[in-house]
Amino acid sequence: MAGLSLQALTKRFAGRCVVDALDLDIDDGAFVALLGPSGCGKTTTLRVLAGFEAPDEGRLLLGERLLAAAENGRTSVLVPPERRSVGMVFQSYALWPHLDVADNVGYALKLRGVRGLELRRRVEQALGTVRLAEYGRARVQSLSGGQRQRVALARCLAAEPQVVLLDEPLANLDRSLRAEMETHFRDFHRRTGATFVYVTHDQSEAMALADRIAVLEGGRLVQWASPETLYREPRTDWLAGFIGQGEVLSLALDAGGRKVEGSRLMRALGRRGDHPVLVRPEHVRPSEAGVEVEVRECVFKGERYALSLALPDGQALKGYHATALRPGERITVTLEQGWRLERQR
Amino acid sequence: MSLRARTHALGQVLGTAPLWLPLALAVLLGSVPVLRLGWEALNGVGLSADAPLVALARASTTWRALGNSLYVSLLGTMLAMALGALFAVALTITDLSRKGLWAFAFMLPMMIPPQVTALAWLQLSGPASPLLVTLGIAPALGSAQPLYGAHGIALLLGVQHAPLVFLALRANLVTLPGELVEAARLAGAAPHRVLIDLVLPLAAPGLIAGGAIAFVSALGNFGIPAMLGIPVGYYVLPTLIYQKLSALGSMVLPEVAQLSMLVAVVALASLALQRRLHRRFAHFSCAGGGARLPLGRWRWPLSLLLAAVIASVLVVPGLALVMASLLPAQGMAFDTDTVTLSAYAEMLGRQGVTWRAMSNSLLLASIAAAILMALSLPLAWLLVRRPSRPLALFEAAIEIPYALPGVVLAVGCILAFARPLPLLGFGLYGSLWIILIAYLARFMVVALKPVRASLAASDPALEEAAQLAGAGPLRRLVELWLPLLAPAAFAGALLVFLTAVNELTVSALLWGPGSETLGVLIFNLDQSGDNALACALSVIVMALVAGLMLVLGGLGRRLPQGVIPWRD
Repeated sequence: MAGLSLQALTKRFAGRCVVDALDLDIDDGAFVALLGPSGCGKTTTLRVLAGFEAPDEGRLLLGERLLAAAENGRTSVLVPPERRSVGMVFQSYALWPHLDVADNVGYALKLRGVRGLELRRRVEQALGTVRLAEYGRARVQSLSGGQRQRVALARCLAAEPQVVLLDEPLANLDRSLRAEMETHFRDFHRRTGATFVYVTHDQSEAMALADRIAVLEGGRLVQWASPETLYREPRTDWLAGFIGQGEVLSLALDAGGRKVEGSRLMRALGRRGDHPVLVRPEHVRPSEAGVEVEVRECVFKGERYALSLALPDGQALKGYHATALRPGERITVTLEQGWRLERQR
Repeated sequence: MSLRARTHALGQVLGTAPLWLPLALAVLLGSVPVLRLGWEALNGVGLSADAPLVALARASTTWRALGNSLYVSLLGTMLAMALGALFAVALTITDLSRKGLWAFAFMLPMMIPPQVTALAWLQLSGPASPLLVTLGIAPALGSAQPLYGAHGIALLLGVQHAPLVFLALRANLVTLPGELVEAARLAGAAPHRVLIDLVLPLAAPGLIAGGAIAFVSALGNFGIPAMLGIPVGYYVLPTLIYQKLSALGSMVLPEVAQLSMLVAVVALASLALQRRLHRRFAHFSCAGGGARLPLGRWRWPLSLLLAAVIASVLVVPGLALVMASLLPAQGMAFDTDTVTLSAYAEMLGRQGVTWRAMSNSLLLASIAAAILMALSLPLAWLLVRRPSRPLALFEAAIEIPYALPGVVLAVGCILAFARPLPLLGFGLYGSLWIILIAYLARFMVVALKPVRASLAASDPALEEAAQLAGAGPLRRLVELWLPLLAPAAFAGALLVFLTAVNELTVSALLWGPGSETLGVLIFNLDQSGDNALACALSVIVMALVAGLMLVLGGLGRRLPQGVIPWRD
């Protein structure tokens, strides 16, 4: 087993940089997510990892093994996908329609010369772990979407890859199935001990699964951190808007750390400036004293109401409230903490 | 149903009434000759010793021709499948460059009339070949032409019909999802394993369909066995029919009808077999597309192989044909002293029949193309937007004259139109009219297909929006679909023109003095020994075909994918 190392990896299509000098060190056995809006380069990165695309610059290593290397648009090393010991779970499942479930799962083993009883045992074992043991002779077309994705998982499991790539594997499933599949993925990760790279545009999926997330935008790495850090301490204003709820205020701050405590934040409120500061809605508390804000919108969310608020200088703020409020109503709130951001654009 | 609803339904039907007229015409054209042939054939079934069917079954020529037909068609189909599969795989799912150019070169032999193909290959081999004589490697005078006989016919049938396999398989391969290939490679399969384990089983329906079309086309091909078989007395069913008709005339019509039915039965049986096989594999059908196999170090060997195939099926025979057309007599070497344009001058200057044949062919082809283009629009609209069970039946009636070998349709047309027409008092046999009718029946599908595909691919909401805006069926057809489908209709018309201008099988049986077509003329010139003239005319026809294909290719930019076969 070995970790993945991406060193200044760059991929261009028709002169346009789709992946721009990406540096990532993914630990052996980690579960990481590549997160970003569509067109951010996450899928291209995944395809470079799989070997379907050759990088234009940079190096890619699996442990000590060099998988790809390129300089000035010329690829010098490119291990083909079939020799990388990398597995992939596709959005479209990509099950081979002319083979039954067991043959799909056993194909990689057959290519390696595993035959007879040993083959059957390992296929059954793989199908057992996704609870499809009795479906070995079933045709792929007769399975539901969730079952198909589990067969795809079992196929991946049976091949015993060092790295598993997952390309938006839940995008074609409905909401109720996603939670169940997430459990399967976590279980699958524990069982194999392989390194997982999970591509998604859905932040909640990435947060729920990965222990480290790389957020990409325009082909560049914006931040590479744990889900908690991404939520609490996003690096830039764009990222703050991309992950979680909240509003970015433009304030003139005194010198100090990036974490802005309540008193420092309340002092800065009146002064418009050019420091972007993220304020999450859970840090906006209704209180006796504080700053008076106007309610713009109030939306029922089940356990509470989500408020869109306006500060006296017109800047937007988000908060929560236990009871319904009418638009135009004025309340006083205290801002308990904020996080100073870098400007990305 | 309330009165209101009833009048509404009536209005709907009446509103589309002008659309049903072309449909009726098309169905009539397609089914009359075929039904007439069927009737004649049934009449011949009898147990008396002189019943045509019994006489036919007794004749050893019948069985020999049937055996020959099956032998050369099967052999040719195997070659066509090998060549077609090679090109379809190479030009669809590999990362070869200049695929459009390769596809164009590979498709050209299909568009060239078979008798021209045969003529070109005849110039390539044998003791009189200008190419071999010039190179000094010609076999001794008096030695046999190696292409004459079964194997030469099979070889050329394979070359001629390989593009059909290519097209059918390609249609299958373009829908192969890229993820399936990627998943196989990640499972550890190298590209050649992917080809064997994944691509071939998934593309089997296309290969089977292509093979069946190639077989039926080979079975009905007249030009190649006529040029390569008749001189050595090797007959297949279409040439046997031709020989009987041209030697004995309408006396043998009942017997010829039986022979045609035999061809039709073999063709239909092979199509039925194809449907059965297709059903077995059909559940593999998948959608998506974008499958790619990297060639790696195989790029150059594969390019060389494709180039060698193109050179031997297109470039070298073409060259031999051009050389032969520039020499005054067969068997001469090609150099500056011998080259002459006299064949072209003779053909265009003195032979009045050339101009007549050319104007006949162009006239027939353009009229057929124009009429079919006009019919294709309302027909396609009815078939796509008003599908129903009787319509599906009508569609079959339109498809059958194209699916059946041309000789069957031709004999059906003779039977239907040989006698003076009731009320009019004159017969059509031997005139241009009967050829036109046959062309209309035969090429209806060719014109219909692109328009149908284009319409089926368009968003039905377009029509619904126009309907909500208050446009009736006719208005929608003229103001919405006419501009949208015009490119597809034009492409279909060009395809009809291209096919009709080269046509030989139907016109060889239907022509009379004054109504020769280009195809018939080339054939007749060759049969009467005017080799140089036949070659010169063939060169002109090839240039015409290539030019039209280029026009079509240029048009392809504005058409939905798949309408122009040799464009991506």
